[in-house]
Amino acid sequence: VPWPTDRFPSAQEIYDRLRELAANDRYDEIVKVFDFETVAGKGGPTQGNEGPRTTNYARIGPQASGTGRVTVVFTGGVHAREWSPPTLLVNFIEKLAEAYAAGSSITIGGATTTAAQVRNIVEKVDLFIAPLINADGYEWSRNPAGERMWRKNRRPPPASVPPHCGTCGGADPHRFGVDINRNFDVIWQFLSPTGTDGTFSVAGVLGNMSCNPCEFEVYVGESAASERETQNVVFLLNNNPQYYIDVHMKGRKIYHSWGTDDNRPIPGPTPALQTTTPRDGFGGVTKDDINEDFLREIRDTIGNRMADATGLGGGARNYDVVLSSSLGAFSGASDDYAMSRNLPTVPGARQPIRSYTVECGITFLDTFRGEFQTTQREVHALLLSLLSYAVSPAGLRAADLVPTPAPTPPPPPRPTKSCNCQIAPGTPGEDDL
Amino acid sequence: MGGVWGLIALAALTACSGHDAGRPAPTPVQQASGDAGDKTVMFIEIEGTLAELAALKQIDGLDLERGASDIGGGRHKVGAMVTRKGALLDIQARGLKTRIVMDEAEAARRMQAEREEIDRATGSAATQQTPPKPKSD
Repeated sequence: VPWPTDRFPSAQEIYDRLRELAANDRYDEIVKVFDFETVAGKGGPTQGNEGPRTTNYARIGPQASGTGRVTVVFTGGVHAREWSPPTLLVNFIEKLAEAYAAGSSITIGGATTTAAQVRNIVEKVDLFIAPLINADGYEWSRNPAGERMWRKNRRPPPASVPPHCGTCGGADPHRFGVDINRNFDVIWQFLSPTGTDGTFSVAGVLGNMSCNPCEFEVYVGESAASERETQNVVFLLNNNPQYYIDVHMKGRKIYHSWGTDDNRPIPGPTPALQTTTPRDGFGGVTKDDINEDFLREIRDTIGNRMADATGLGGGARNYDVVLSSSLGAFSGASDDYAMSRNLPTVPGARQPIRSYTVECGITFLDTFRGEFQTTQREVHALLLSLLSYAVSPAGLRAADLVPTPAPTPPPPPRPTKSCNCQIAPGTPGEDDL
Repeated sequence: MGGVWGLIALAALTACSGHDAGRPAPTPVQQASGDAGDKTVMFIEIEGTLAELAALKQIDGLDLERGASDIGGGRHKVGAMVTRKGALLDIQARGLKTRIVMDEAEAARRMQAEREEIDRATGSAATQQTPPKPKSD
């Protein structure tokens, strides 16, 4: 089946395309495809599943192990109804591999990634791309018997529901599935075991998290990382990337951590997330600590760089950089989990992963021939901007892959000028202009 | 919230009130109304302060984006999917400015077009001839 160029592909077409790219002689040395552990497929035909399903990810770059390279992970298709990210990530693999094979640049709108930059990216980055994490849910959102706006995976409902989580009827069609992006092991236990306020206030997480399987969107699952899809993302993060982007829909935003509460920038190292401190969400008294320099890097340096890239060289950016918790706290998300893995930061230890959730596109119903084409260009430009940063001297230094250069000695003092100039106090002098 | 879902939510409240009276029900199930006529799919933008926008999470049938963009003057803008017709009125009743990004008719038309594309690709003869009612909530 040829790769569709006029519609969104099926899950099988996505994985077939990955294998096709890996089999292409032009990309043979730089694109390899691997199997994840199979996802559940437990629901049977009436639930839109087809039995255990093999899902795949690609590794782009020199396939032999090496040192001094940056590791980057991109994931997509965590939420079923978000159809654009899987397709644009597959196309990104081809775009990067083809440019490298041809020795050419990549131009998107008015922005160009030079051939030298492309070569640098492919040869200095171990890039892992999993375009479709939640294949079961994706297919359910495409199934005539399913739901187009389905978000979760398709896990069968648990045998029982804790009383404090409310009721979930056996005939409720929404009793299936877990929100993969609330299932990661980062403050997953968001309420106390009795359902009273725990790490989060009950009211504070309304709409953001739920322990009720019948909740249509944000059911956290029976235990942390209970879902195979979650475990597959964790498997990729076990490659110890320095950078991670989870591509979602929608809203044209770049979210940075923490999502668990407001940030409190501190001068010292970022400590591990406190899992027992009650959180009050945005605007409250409690905060989650984060090293101030690291925050500036992820928000201002990298975040703004990616946002600027979405302007496609035309000036105004199309994406905003936003704190994840700006409308309320939540936990269990992939980006916070990734960033929490290497904390606390201590001398000589691994740096925290610079983690983002990118929300691309305008609605979940963006058309393939219409809005998707713009979305694809924006996200490709954004991803390239991150990769370019990752292999830049600043990016390599930030990832501890090159030693920090010795401080530049201060310039020798200039000879004192002697003149009879009359410079009024507070007005700019010659050297200030 | 009405119909059977209202009863379920009430049951949840009742079930929780025993051990923790006085508190709000933990993580109420956000479901669409059981009344099929109240279901919809549309996409909107809402302007307000961060506190005003965060408070919208209490509205049933409103899927708010994770965060809001700063548009200056203490105001922020957030996108949302509306899956219950009454949710839009609930927002407007709070005096917040809303803009419809994609209305119900366009959303239904696009879902039907997607359905037909998939049917064509899979060779299915089961292409629906009439626009389906939005199923999402």
